[in-house]
Amino acid sequence: MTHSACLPAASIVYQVPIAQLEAYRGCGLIVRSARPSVIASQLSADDLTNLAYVQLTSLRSEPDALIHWADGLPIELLLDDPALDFASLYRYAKLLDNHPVRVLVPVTTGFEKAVRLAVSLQFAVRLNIGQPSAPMLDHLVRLLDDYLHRSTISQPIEFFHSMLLGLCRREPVSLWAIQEEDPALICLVDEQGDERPPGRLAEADLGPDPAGFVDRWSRGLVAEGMECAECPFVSTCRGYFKWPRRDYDCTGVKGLLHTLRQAADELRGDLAALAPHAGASWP
Amino acid sequence: MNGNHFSLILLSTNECNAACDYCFEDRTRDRLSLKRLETIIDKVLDHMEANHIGALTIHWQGGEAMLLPPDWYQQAFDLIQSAAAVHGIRVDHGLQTNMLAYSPKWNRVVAEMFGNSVSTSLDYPNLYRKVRGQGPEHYDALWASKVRTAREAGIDVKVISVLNQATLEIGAERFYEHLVDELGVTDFQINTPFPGGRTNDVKRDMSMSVAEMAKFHCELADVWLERDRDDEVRIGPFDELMNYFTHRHASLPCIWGQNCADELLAIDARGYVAQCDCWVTSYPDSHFGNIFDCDSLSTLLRTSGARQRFSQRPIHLMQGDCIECDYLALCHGGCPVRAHTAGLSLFEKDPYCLLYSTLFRHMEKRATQQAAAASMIV
Repeated sequence: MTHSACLPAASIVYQVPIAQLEAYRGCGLIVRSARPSVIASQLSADDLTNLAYVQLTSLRSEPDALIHWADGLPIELLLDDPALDFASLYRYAKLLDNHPVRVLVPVTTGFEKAVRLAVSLQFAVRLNIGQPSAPMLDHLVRLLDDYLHRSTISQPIEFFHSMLLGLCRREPVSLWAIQEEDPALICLVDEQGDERPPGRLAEADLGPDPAGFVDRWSRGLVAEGMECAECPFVSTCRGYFKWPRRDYDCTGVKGLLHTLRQAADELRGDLAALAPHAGASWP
Repeated sequence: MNGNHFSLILLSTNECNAACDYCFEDRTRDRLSLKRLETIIDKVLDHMEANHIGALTIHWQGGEAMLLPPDWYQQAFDLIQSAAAVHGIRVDHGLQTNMLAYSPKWNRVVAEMFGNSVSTSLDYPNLYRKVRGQGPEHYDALWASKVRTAREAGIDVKVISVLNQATLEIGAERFYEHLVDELGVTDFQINTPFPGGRTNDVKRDMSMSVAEMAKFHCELADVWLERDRDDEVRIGPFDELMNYFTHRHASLPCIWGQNCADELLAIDARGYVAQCDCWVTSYPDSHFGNIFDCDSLSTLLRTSGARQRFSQRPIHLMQGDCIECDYLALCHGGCPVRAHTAGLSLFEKDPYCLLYSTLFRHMEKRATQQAAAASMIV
């Protein structure tokens, strides 16, 4: 369940609470609720047509209502407090019989355990990475190494996964898009029905053209001669790690991106070497 | 249990014709009648339909399953297939038997119901498997004779072998030679022992060095990989671990399941429902209930405190060191009955942890070597 697999590129997708569903029927949707039974009972067969995925915002309820509901529909599980809630993933593993399931994990204390368990249970993962602190970066370095090299990890961990594929194929990728935080792609609808930018931008005033925010933001950072001006990853990062604190030191995250680029180069080289013999194709 | 497949271990009888010293079952003389089987099957199928589960595998065991006659199984087969057809559920059957009661009268039902395949048990050297009043040699000879007859009838005979101290002493090479070269066994699984059920002198004395067992496992895997270059021999769990580490589909044994409470269930000949055959005859405190005393299996499972404890086990284990393990994805803390019978809480990890992690690392290394060798050939 990567952004490219789920979100239609041509039109904006609305991330709506289920209470606001009625107003957005017919749009491209991500529907969120804390209760599996509410999702299963309130979304009709017609709604499924425009649904990218459903997001469960709490792991407190039992997931049984979703196990055999809308087979094949992607589900995202939001882990609010990874240190506290991660073991609950065992109860949700049953969903994998009939759904692609991704766990959204905030990079806060204990996130590394949550990711380790999630991938061990065969969940995909999306890291809500923000501007990671030094201790979190240490964990991220180890996690990236595991993602790249450990044979027990076979599920995508975002943003690593989409970034690796993009770099390997030499295709343009945007971290804002991978992280589903680009206002040109996603619009968050709050509980009151107000439309907001997605993710970390939710409280920000992006002016009259929110869809142009990422472009303006990244150009601005480069024009101001910030760290981005010299950064080899600016075309994919586009200032993602400079939000909200522009003075965030990107040394650590650049290390992650460098490792990903190195791995992508190696992978491309390996595939090129194999291709004439074995008909290998790009991943 | 809410996935797309349901595994049921069904004890058609709690009675056994062998008297193995290390048996984990507390035997009774109970046998399942066809009428009671019908009740069990109706409730199982109702539960499956309510939970949208489309496929059932019944693993028939005992006691000794062949103490009921082949005719009984033929009728049971017809009864189950008819009931399953009404529910639109697919049912497959497997048979675990010691083979001591086998005769050619079984051939038809083995072919029709069990796909002409049975799973049996033999240790080498055999120290503990016996018929009452006889020694292990008698058991081995009787078993070999029955297996020979079954094979002549075209029946595929798989073997489960439980390790003992003498197995470790003879070593992996000799063990492999005996099973594969001398007995012609080409599909077998090695199991670790555990002192389940009523205690006795053998069970008190059967503990082995886990490090030595790990060494034996790795050496046996190496013997298999060196000698079976034509892929004619399957040894569990090595074959599935090689599949796993070479990114092929792998069916790992239940001891390493994510959560056995979600994967299987056992019902014995008295109707008691428990996590698996290791619990159902010997640990009444762990019964989920009795299927003949409940209106629905779904309700029984939903309201069982004992089952709740099994469901909670992996969640508790994650508070310990399992979460740090490189092989969490394969093992999930291991087998609850192995923890319980070692005197540990249900919420503690399997005491064979060292064996498992050593074996996983070894198989991962061997799989990587194989992949590297294959890429050189390309």
